Amino acid sequence: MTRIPQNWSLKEQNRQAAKQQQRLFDRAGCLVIELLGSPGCGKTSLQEATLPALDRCGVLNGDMASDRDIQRLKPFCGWAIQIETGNRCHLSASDWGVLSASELAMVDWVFVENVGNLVCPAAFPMGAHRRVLLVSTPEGHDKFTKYPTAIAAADLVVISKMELAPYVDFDADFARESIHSIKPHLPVLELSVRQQTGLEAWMIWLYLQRSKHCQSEVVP
Amino acid sequence: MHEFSVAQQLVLAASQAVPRPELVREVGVRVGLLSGLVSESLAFGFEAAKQHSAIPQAVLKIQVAYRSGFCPACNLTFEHAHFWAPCPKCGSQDTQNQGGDDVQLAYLEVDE
Repeated sequence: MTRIPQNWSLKEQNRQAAKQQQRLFDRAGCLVIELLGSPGCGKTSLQEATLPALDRCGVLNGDMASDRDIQRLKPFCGWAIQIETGNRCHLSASDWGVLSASELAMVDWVFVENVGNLVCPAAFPMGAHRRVLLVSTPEGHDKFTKYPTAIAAADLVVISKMELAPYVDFDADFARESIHSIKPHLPVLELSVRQQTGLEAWMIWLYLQRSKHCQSEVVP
Repeated sequence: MHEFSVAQQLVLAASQAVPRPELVREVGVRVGLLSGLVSESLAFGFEAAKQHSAIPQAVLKIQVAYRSGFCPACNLTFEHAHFWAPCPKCGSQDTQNQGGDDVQLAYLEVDE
């Protein structure tokens, strides 16, 4: 028997697929923001509040079934595409195959809403420039320590439905501490789409990412 | 949750790594504690995935991989099982942490 060392890596495979995808986005000049979070955390509502304030947007939405979210978001963007994943629990880089180069050229912003799930999507980068984790206050301030992979993958945490915080005993300080025990310095925003609070900070974050991306990260 | 698809990818990678895959007897894999994969499920998936593949004789050997932390102040490297951990010596939170979140094909044992 002979032992032959190997260097295949799952992470590297996923990273390569995501990177290849990101090059297409960069060539088309669009910034891709991925939203991760459990079912009902407010991913679609946040987009309903965001898209009308932005020009030239596209939306890709993953759900196990139905085109409900796309129907909600269509009025606010250039194109909105639903991927029904069937039994798959997450989107992957290959799902971008549904998009044509001309569709990418139409937009400056792409929002990807991954399947509502805090486990699998975190492990499969799709090539988004930024990954945003949404957790709503009714899910509980202790949710973060239970799903560390999602935090580790995120560039920003948005705590949504802040208007419900007093009714569900949501402790925002505890939440921040747990987030930072997994990923120190990770930015955290608190907002309420219903009461229209905290949305300015979210929009500023988005524009900041856009300018950072335009300045430094474009891959030729 | 998606161990079977990872097992299929490993079987494919191992099958393509050598000119005569039917001679592969052992597939050595490092599974990171933070990879989100359950080793038992991966082993179960591998047994199913190798059937009707180019490496039906191969046995999966799993080695667990920890995350590596480094404290620049103490110049200390330490192993742990979290995404981030403070320095065990000085308690500093300014540590660099890497690894332990991947699945790697480490080696293949092949019959002569």
